[in-house]
Amino acid sequence: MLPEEKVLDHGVLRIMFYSLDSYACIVAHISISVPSEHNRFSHLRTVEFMGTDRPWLNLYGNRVRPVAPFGSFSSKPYVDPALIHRCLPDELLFEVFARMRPYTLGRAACVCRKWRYTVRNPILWQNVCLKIWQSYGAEANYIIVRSLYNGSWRKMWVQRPRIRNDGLYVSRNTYIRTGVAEWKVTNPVHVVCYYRYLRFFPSGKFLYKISSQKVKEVAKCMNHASKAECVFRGDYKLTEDQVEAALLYPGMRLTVLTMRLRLRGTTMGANNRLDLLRLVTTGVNENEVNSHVDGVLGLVEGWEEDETHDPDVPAISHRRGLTPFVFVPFEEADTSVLNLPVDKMDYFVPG
Amino acid sequence: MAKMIKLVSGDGAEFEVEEEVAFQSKIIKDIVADADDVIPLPTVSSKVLIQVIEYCRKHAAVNSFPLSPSSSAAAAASSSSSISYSKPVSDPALRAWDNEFVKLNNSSLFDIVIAANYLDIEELVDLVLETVADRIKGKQAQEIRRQFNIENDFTPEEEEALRRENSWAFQNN
Repeated sequence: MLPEEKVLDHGVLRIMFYSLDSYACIVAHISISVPSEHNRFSHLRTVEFMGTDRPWLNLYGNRVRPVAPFGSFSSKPYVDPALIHRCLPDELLFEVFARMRPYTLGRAACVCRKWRYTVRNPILWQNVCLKIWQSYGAEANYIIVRSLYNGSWRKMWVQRPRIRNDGLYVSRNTYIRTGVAEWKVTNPVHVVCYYRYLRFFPSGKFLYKISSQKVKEVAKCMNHASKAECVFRGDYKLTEDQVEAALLYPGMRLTVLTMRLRLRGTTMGANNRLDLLRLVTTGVNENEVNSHVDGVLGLVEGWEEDETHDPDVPAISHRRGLTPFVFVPFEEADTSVLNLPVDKMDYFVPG
Repeated sequence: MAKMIKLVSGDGAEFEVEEEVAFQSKIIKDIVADADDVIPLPTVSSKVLIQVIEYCRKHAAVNSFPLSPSSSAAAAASSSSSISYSKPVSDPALRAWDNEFVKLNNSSLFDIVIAANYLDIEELVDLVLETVADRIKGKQAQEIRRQFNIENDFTPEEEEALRRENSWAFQNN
């Protein structure tokens, strides 16, 4: 390139490039305002280029496939090595994606450009959104997506707090109790570890279990059909990021357990932490239970923290064992670190 | 004596099947309604046709009723309609047979689903697509690429940006 300098009278240095390369012709006119005191030195070519325009920099980082010029013998049509793309028409590829869970969709978006494009189809996200937030009702969801998330279902999926239903929320609590002095052990202490398990369903029901059993054993029995002992059913309601949950313990003295939790995540969209704000057990009387059709939540709605409707069962707001819940997907139930016994991990920092 | 329909594959081989077996395919059902018993299927090879017929034979015994028409996949891609699924197979023995049936490599699966799509056999299309989706489930992006021989056409910056954007899908703790 041969630059040509030309100083104009009002102190603007104009530099023009003409390329002699026959395959590419770049003509750039760069006008740099040069302070007047430098004009005298311009003949010495000491004026530095103050700004440079290098259009070829835009090509860096783009995988530009070299294309032979038109009509050349070496130009080959691009053949996609992936059989799935050559065989399946786009509609069928879309149908495959329609059968994937949202977390798989998120990972699929990172595979290649075609998949990223297909994953962005709003119908996929509309369906998963309507399913997970079904307790709000379809109409409310439509209004919310339009007003808060610009009509983008995908954005709503990532940004709006949602309770996950593909695993368990696990709260691992430990406490120390003194043990019995033995032969040489004079002041023994035991570290006791127990878990609270929560499993939520989009229909508004949840399951609760408190046990010393590890995640990998409990994961199998936390379902509706399970006749396992000590798995209790209740109702919950999610309002923005607050969860109100209540269940009724069966038995002679009717006791209701209510929890208030706050949903958050370690990253946007993860929804993998539930902070336990309040845990109250209180008494209800039998007549109320039978007459209330709204379910357990409606039964204890608006009660004070110390309110009880059965004088034999005082209202207790529990202060211990309130470690935040950590989400463990079912696939990770066996390998989760929360399975570790106390000698390997005495406390898990939920973060 | 059940009425027999003759199917001719792309490479000229002829297959005679009972009417109710062939009628698993809505397309064939419609063609035969126009009084034509010999149906050429130029886009379907013999190998694939044999497998499809095997599937239809097994399912014809179960399904006495024709399947409800599905909205076509093309309509599903447009914004007006939502995705439809055929009713799930309830009989566990049949489901076990189906699972064995789809233990094929990706290439064969794709051939079958294209043929089933052409012939409009909703349950078979659904079965194969579910199988493909299962093969993708639980895998990381690199594993998916290896399985399906997909080229990674992202720049490192784009890949990083995507990974950040979809971190909720990866992060599980």
